[in-house]
Amino acid sequence: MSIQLSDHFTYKKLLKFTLPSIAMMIFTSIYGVVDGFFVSNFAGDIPFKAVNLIMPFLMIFGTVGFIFGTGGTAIVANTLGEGDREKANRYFSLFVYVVFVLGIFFAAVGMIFLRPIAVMLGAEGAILENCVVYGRIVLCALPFLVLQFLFQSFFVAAEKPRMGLFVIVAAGVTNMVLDAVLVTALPQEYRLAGAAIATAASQFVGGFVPLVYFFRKNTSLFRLGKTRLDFRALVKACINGSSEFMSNVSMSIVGMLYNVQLLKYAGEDGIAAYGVMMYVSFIFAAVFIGYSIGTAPVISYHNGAGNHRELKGILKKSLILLTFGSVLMLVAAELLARPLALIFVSYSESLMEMTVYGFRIFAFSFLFMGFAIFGSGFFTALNDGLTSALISFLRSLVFQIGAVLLLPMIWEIEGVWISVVVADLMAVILSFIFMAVKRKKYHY
Amino acid sequence: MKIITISREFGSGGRELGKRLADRLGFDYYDSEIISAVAKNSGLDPHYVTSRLEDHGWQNFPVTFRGTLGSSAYMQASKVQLLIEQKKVIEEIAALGKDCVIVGRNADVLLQTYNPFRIFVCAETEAKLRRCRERASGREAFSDKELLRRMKEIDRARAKTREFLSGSEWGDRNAYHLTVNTSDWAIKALVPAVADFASAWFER
Repeated sequence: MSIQLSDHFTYKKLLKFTLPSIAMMIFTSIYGVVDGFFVSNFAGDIPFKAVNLIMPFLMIFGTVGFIFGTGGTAIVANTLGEGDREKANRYFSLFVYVVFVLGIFFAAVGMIFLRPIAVMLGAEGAILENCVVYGRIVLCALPFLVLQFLFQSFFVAAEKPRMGLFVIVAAGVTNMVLDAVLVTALPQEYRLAGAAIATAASQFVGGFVPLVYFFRKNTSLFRLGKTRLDFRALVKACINGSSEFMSNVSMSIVGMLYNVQLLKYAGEDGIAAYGVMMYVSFIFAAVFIGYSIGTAPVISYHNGAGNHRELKGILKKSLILLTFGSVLMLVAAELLARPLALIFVSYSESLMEMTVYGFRIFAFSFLFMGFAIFGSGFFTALNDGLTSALISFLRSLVFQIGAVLLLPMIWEIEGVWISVVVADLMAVILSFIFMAVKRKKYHY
Repeated sequence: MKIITISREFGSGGRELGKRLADRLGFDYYDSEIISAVAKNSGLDPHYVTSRLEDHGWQNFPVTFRGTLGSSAYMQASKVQLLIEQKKVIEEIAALGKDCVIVGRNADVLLQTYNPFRIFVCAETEAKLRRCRERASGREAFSDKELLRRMKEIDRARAKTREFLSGSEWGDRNAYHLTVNTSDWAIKALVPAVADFASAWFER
């Protein structure tokens, strides 16, 4: 009799395997939420609205770090693979310096256009002034924010993923502690500036600590040093990182568009209510993103190794797990709508009412979000970048923009709340169509 | 064809046991040759392949900030590619149809259909430390604390890779035909007994 290995991913093993990435994702989303909590509760509703209004614009510039992070890592890793450490180091240094300079440049550009853009987005009066104050302070740290994004990518290539984790935690803790100190202790009129300083300081930590680490002698594969300007490498990195660029910019554009529609159909309160929903949905989405990231290499491996049965099993079990998770989240969101809103906007009866009502509609997106995220991740893992990019592009740009522009024409503000649900539902349908079409090709 | 696979804790002497076993039985022996073959197939630097396959950073740590998500799936992808390449190499070795001993690389999982004789080699921590110190003497001398940390890290990475490949647990006693504790033994003295056991198993 031969020994039978217990060699299949059961539900329990799948969950155990993906738990670290899920936990990590939840943690990284929490610190943005903590920021919102302090601003709303201690600085007040006007600063809270201002932050939510201007944030998508500020985040567009961070994209530059993502482009050279993912695009550059690919180039540096290839060079390392060929065994040329010196050249890899030169590229690494080049990307770091270029990104830093671009960060300074975009910070300056952002400062100049901050006010006109805020006006264009619909800010006026006190909110406009708050947008400008918050934006200026946060933009000061932009060169370090882009470095943070860049280094997060490179820490993995440098074989120091734990150092990357340490930096994220340090940045997150900086933000939370400074929020707790500055936003609560400063006089009322400086509290928003305090929140901005907390955010800027956290970005500074996230970019500066790795900068120092790589400048000094270290045990990783890289050290910052001399470099040569190499336009070919820069262009190649940009092309490699262009999908990251697309997804980040589209997220910002969609965010701005929502704000415009919210202002139109629900006024300033709409911005605050939607802000609360976004915070909650980050945490819920984090679970699905973590799950997708955790399973991706396993799917990738079994596809590449031709273990079709295993691939099929993992897909089936994942879909069942996602179904359970999605229903559970919807139920939790419906039940917890009021307590969750209370955490952020307990100070205003009208805001509470709008947030709870909107959230009960918005929450149906939790039913579909997981499948859409997993669907896109699934095809990335199968090395079918085109399908994956198509799903995430249609979901995050086309469906969202279409929904948020069209639906409010019919249902006004309810149309805004439901547009995320509709966009995600369409993305799920699309994912399932692709899964059905590609079934033969990948044998799952 | 007879295949013997050896899984082992870091420092337990599993590799030496495998080598001597192969010599005694007249089998082919594979361990790090596999990595060189992988490197040759994928056109990469062998050092790079080694470091990739042995690196412990399984999961990436992506960043989210206000809905922006960045993760470097690239590195993960390259490692998965190497593991797939490695699987192919191990299957090619098996397809040669010659008797062999394969140390590590989860060959027991990958070659399941060949029903190999599976050995797990372990030892007490003190014995493993002693072995590491002997092996490292003269070259790079690690302190005991460092050695312990490395031991733990490497074993964890091995467990993780196995979990990744098959979802099965590393070192689960039900998955092996023979578990050898080398604590009180010189490997050389142990080999005849293990070889006899294996031969008897193949002759059943």
